[in-house]
Amino acid sequence: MSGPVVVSMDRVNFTYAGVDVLRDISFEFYEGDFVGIIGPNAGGKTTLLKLMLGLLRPDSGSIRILGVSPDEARGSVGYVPQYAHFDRSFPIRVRTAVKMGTLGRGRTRDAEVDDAVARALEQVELHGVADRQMGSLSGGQLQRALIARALVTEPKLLLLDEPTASLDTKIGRSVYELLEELAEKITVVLVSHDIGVISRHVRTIACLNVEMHYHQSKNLTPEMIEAAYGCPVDLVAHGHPHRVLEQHQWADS
Amino acid sequence: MIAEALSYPFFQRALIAGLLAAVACGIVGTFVVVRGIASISGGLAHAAFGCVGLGYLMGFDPILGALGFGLASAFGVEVAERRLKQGIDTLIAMVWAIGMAMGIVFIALAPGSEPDLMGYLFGNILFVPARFLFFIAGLDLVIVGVVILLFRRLEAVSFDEEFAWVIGMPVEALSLLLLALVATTVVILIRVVGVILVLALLTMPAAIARHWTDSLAPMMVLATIVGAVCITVGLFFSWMLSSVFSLDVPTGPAIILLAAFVYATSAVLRRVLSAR
Repeated sequence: MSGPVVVSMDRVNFTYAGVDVLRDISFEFYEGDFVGIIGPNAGGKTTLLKLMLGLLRPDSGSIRILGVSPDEARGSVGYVPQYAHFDRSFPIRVRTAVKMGTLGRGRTRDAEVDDAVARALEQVELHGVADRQMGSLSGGQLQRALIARALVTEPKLLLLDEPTASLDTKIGRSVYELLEELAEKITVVLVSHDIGVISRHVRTIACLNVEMHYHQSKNLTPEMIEAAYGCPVDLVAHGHPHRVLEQHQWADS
Repeated sequence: MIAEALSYPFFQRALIAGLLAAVACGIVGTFVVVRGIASISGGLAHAAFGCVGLGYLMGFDPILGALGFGLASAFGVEVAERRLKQGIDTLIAMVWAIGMAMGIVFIALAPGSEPDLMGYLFGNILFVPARFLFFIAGLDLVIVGVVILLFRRLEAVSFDEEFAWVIGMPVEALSLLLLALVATTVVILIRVVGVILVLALLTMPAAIARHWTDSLAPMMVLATIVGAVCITVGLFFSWMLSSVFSLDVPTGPAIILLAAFVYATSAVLRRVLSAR
């Protein structure tokens, strides 16, 4: 691939309560990549993200983000957590929540901050609801607000945890269209258990279930999926079992 | 009749103490409610009791001991949770029990007359010594100062701690600062209104304010107003009951029950209005 390495892991292991959550993970993501990491629930996806963010520390192995340790990369990485985990009754307005993204680095002038917030809200098409309470937004709007909050940090790398979980398909697609647009300029990595949707939008796919399978391509072999999910393929993609795989074979040929 | 009540110095002091306490509790209570740290606050309040006992035994001002112990417990709980990954719930229950046990052991060992233990546990807003008014006013100044200075940061850490960490904010320090504010508030107000009323004032006015506000600063202001109204009405109500009907209803519990009634009414009203 092209460009400098943005994320790299080298023989990373992570255990929780004696159980392997991630085993011997090694990979490199490059500048400009748009990577989807798929895998079953409890396959270690969120843990992998949290390791990249420095929220968790590996038991062994090394992690480099933008050439430095995850701790040192704080402030250069945009993070979009699972919106479904939010306390919707928290008294905070959309604008204030997005503004939170500007608190990390000492951006001084108020006008500059307000400008950046307004631009981010415009970009995700939420300027109309900027003064509403966060909890009053729909799922898709809330997800966009969290993306806007990550964008005002002016990240070089954007990490998203299940960006479309429990969104209906149409709204989920609009979130992905936004991400595709963003991926033109920055490196985007997202995790999801939804192979069907993810595969239509990202540029490369990695499979993760304790171990990781990644070949820097969108080519999903049945072997990769079986290794990741540990079960026959047609049990995996609920609803449309075969179509997903066939699409990939065509896309690659 | 109101004028008569106000003519008594003890009543004046109670009212002033109550209004000053409403400010501290309205602001700190807002963080307690939105962060969901009411049970930590309860644990700290009871842990502080351990040092009230130590103060008796060693002969220093119990408030100073309680303040030190309250801050140490806040720090201990926070660090144990983050670094040792202990269940916060269990830690709180332990600190709660250990504090009470230590307090009672120290007091039993202390020579001389039996101190007014009930006063420390349940307080009595009608017997506030004049010098405590200055303590509470000082507490208010510190809290208002810290919150004005760090408002956006404290708000961010309360709303989303992980994100705050990711963008490079000093999350641990800010969260310790919040706990320290809670501990200081609790310890200073214990002497005035007692453990139970402190917990009530930290949670109920803020919970009521949350029904009607969509951001943090207005919630603090409304919580302070609600607290002040509950305290004032509770004070006059219990005074009236005792002077007119010779019913001796303790003031603290009267305030708590009044606030509980307001909370229930507010919750129902909110629901009805948002259902329309």
